[in-house]
Amino acid sequence: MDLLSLYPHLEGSHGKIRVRLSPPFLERVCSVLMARMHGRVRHLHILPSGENRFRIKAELSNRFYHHVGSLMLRVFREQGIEVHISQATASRASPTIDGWMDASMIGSKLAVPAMVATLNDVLGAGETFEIKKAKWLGWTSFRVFVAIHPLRLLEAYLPADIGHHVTDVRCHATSEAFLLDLHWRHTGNVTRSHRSASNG
Amino acid sequence: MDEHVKAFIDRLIKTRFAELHGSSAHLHLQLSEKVLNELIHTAIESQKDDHPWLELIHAAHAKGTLGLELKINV
Repeated sequence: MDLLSLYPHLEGSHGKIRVRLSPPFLERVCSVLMARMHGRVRHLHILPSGENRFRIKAELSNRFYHHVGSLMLRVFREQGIEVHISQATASRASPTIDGWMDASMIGSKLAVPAMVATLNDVLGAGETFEIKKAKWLGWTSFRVFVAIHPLRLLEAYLPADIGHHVTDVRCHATSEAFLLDLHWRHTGNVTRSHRSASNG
Repeated sequence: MDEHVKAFIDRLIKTRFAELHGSSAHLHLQLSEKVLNELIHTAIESQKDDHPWLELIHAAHAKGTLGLELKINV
């Protein structure tokens, strides 16, 4: 018996789910992502680094970025960019987890947009990561504001329309792991995030 | 499904989600008559080898719905 085939008949069910994403698990997720990037990214690491912040280390490997990278993007590759979470909860009414990162001009204009475009392409769930704006901090530093759409990811990856019944997602990063708290309510209706609906 | 994603999910299931240690779920499932009858039918069929007397059951029907509370810890 396929248990998932029974899912549509569970209307009225609800629950709370906590998922703990440890660094070794995140490494495996990054490995899967890199395998799907077909060499566009040589290294990708996502590490929780403290209270509501995490670090992304990456090496973009196409010819131009690799050449530039050897001169200017070393910091992105070796130390990474720290992302600070400013809005930790995404709901149907307010569907993004928001954050910001400080980057150099090269990072904010080239590396971050390239990485975001690559990740969105690989994930195939529409615009999962979105650059909202960049604010000049002085000299060559910029603060880049980003938004993550977790509901789009869940709708794309969870089977049997389960993702369409997740009502909100809260992300809490510590120095040891990410904790994702999800609320799920099976209403019988399929609620699609705006972008998923427009994508069909 | 992409082969890398499939292998990733297969491994998660085989290891009983050990890599997600510390995760939990508290679910209230509303099981309809249809779901209950599917589960009862599957349970009876799967146990017939070990419990031959189950062959004597000609019909088993659940009436009404059932609320099931599940607490899961990884």
